Amino acid sequence: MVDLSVDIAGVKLKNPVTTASGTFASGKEYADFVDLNKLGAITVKGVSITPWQGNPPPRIAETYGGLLNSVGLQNPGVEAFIKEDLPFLKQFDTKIIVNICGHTEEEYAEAAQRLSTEAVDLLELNISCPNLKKGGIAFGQNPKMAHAVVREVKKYAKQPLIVKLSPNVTDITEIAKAAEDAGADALSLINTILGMQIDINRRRPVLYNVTGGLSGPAVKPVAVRMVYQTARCVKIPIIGMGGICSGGDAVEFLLAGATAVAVGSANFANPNATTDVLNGICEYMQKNSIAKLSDIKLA
Amino acid sequence: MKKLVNAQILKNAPLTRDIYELIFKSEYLAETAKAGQFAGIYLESESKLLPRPFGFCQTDAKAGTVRIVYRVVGGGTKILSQYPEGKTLRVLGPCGNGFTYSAQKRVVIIGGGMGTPPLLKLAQDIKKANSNAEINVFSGFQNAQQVILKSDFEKTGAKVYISTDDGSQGYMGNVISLIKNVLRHNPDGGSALPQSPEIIFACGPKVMLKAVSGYADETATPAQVSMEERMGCGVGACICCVTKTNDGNGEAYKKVCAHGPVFSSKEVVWNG
Repeated sequence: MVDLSVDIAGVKLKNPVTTASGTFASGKEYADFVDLNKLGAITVKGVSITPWQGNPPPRIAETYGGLLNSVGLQNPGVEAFIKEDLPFLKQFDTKIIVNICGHTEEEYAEAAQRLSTEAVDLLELNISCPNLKKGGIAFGQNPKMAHAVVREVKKYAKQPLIVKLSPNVTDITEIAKAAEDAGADALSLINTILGMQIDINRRRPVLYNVTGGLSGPAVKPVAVRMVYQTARCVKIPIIGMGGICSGGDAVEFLLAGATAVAVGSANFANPNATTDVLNGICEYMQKNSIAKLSDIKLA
Repeated sequence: MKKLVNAQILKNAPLTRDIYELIFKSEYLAETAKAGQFAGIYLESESKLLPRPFGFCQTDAKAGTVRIVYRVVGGGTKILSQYPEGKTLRVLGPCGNGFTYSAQKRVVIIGGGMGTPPLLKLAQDIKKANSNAEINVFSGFQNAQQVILKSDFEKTGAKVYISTDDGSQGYMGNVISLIKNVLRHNPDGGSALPQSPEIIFACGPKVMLKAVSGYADETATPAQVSMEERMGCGVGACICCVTKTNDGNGEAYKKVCAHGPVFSSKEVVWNG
């Protein structure tokens, strides 16, 4: 029996596999396929203090080995989440990570405050969504703004705070250090890479929003590189994500320095992806006689 | 409940130049699928990851078979069209909500192009539920080469009217002008015509569904429309395939794959 447990800011996950925010809704949609009790944690779709309508369709475009999305964080708001989704999630023996989004520091802080009294294990601050006109990625592309929003949210958050970083920056370590310095308890990366697809017959962008966030196996090498770089300059744990489809992919992120991993777009291609990734990690450990997950290290 | 099933291909052959008929074995889907629901077919492709949504065209619970009719329009359907008999497909389903039929007698079914296949299962299921139902099918296509499933609809006992854009088969023009012509719709917009339907079911391009919705409003007939939008996961998680709706509580984007694909025509915001 291998020991798969990991510690993220004092929260013990039974295994390192969680879901990437926005790819697993609040778990219900995949409960027909996946035993949610088996996951280390479930990271839910981003919630904001008020309901957000999101962007007009088309919101998705398939690309080679990946997909672009421009959902724009449509969500029914934190109150609806607490009332409708949280009770469902609480039935399962898994940790709950709530992704919070906002247009302003105040909105992020209000969402964190509203969740502070709820049975949520960790918060994930989304300062990296590329599909908003205001907020989101803007906070994640500027070290000073990242620092300020993390510090503000930390005043209200009762749960440990994960800060989700954008790859759409010149130097991700600058933002990572700013977040750590401001009190972030963990980091998660990467969010999607800004991209675009044009329909050559209609001669128009495929997405209504023109640009969207690229995810899926196509982005994995970028994500691994950024996790590797970030892990070498911060002390806080990292949840690595970006194109993970298999146990082998997950191990690559662990070797790069991630403490845990999230399965994202792979859920769309395979509703059992989270379970497959977890089983793949176990097989890798058994095959290589690794007893503890934390012993997965670069040679 | 949605399941991920392994389904063996029994037939995958062209019906017309670029429209294919796929029959696969899945007892579960054949038993549980409702008309208007769809299956997500995954391609064994490293480059194309998303499931392709196809409405159930016909299911045979006894034989445990499912029939899908699709058109080769892009790389994904091209790959699918090359799959041989005997190959096992990964199929997700049944997805979405489906049409709701509640024993109405005079039924009008309106299909446009590749929106037609799911309506065949609907016609068959309606006949099974109510053998007295009078079904009139109005089906519009670009041209005679694209006309599909006419005899299948006729086998259910439905009356079938075809329109083509170029007039190469049936009525020349769009399906709404065809229906008005056939039903000799009262130009004053009255709804008390003896032939007026009690319910309309439609599936096709959005522009057609919008016209159906207008027709339904004019004749004060309830209409259920099956919407299409670029889709991601197929299970309601990614929130990509949305359509703007208003159920009386203000405008909101609803998920075509989970809240739909079938909506009341009154709920859809057609200019949204």
